[in-house]
Amino acid sequence: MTPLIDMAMLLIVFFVLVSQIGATDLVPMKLPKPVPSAAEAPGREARCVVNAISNGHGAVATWRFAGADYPSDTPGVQALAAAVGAALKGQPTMEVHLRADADVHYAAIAPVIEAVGRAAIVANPGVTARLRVAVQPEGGRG
Amino acid sequence: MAETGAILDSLARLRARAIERPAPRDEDIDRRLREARAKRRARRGLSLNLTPMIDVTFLLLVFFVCTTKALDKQALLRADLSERGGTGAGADALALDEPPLRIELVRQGAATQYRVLAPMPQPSGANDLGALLAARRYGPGNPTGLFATDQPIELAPAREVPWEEAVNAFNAVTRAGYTRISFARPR
Repeated sequence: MTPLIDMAMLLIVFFVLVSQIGATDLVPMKLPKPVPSAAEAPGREARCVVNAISNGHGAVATWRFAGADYPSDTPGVQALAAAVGAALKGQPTMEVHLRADADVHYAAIAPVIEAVGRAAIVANPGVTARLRVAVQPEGGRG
Repeated sequence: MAETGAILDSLARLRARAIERPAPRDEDIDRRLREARAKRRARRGLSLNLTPMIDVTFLLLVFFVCTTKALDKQALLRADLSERGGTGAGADALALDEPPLRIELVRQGAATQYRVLAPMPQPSGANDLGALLAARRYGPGNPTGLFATDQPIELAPAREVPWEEAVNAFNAVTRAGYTRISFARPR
């Protein structure tokens, strides 16, 4: 009986961990890589991650936030900003990580930075929104 | 009375037998256990116990899953979005909102050109931009510097500038020591 319980526990721990990693939604992409870099290593602060998934031609195909996809048109960006604002509500120290492909044109990303900034101010008035731009670490692979 | 005698007799016999037979030695016990194990193995055939192996395998899996999570393969650039003229740290309610130093990025072919809207030499690249701005930052080591560390700086990349170039410029200004950098709406 004991080995069976051992195995069951191990499997539970394993799948719990795997599902947590799936929830952090770090979509694989080619992040910008500034050299030499002023970027810092990620800390232990609460975070939410906004992913810009490139369509390969300089535009954003979809925005992904907290497991949901948002189109890159104006209503989509509005909905994304609303979702980020809801996540930030009452959590002034939460970081918003912006992950965007290095090849995406600035025109596709600027509206989201602006909308997220506005949503953050509405969610926590008078608090500086902690936007963080995700980049590849210097000397990192790929 | 006869019964008591019989009991005493048998006790004496038992004691005598115990003295006759020496206590089993450790080697004897070991040998007997070995023999019993060999007999059992012969009866069942040779078998491999898989449970510890699977235990260890799963432990290793969990370990690696945990460590890869800890090693987030990304770094973060600080890009705080403060409310315009808002209540940032140390903001003075009576202070005038300083006009930001605007840095425009334009795309020409496959190259990105930098235009700093200030009377200073124009940078040729991101690292040059960082060096120029660092040399003009006011501080104890540079009393003739033009810009304070909290001078608002506005990065204005053109629409078709790749995100990588925008981030490079942002990184260069951060490295130059400025703390209030923002992205502007593209024209």
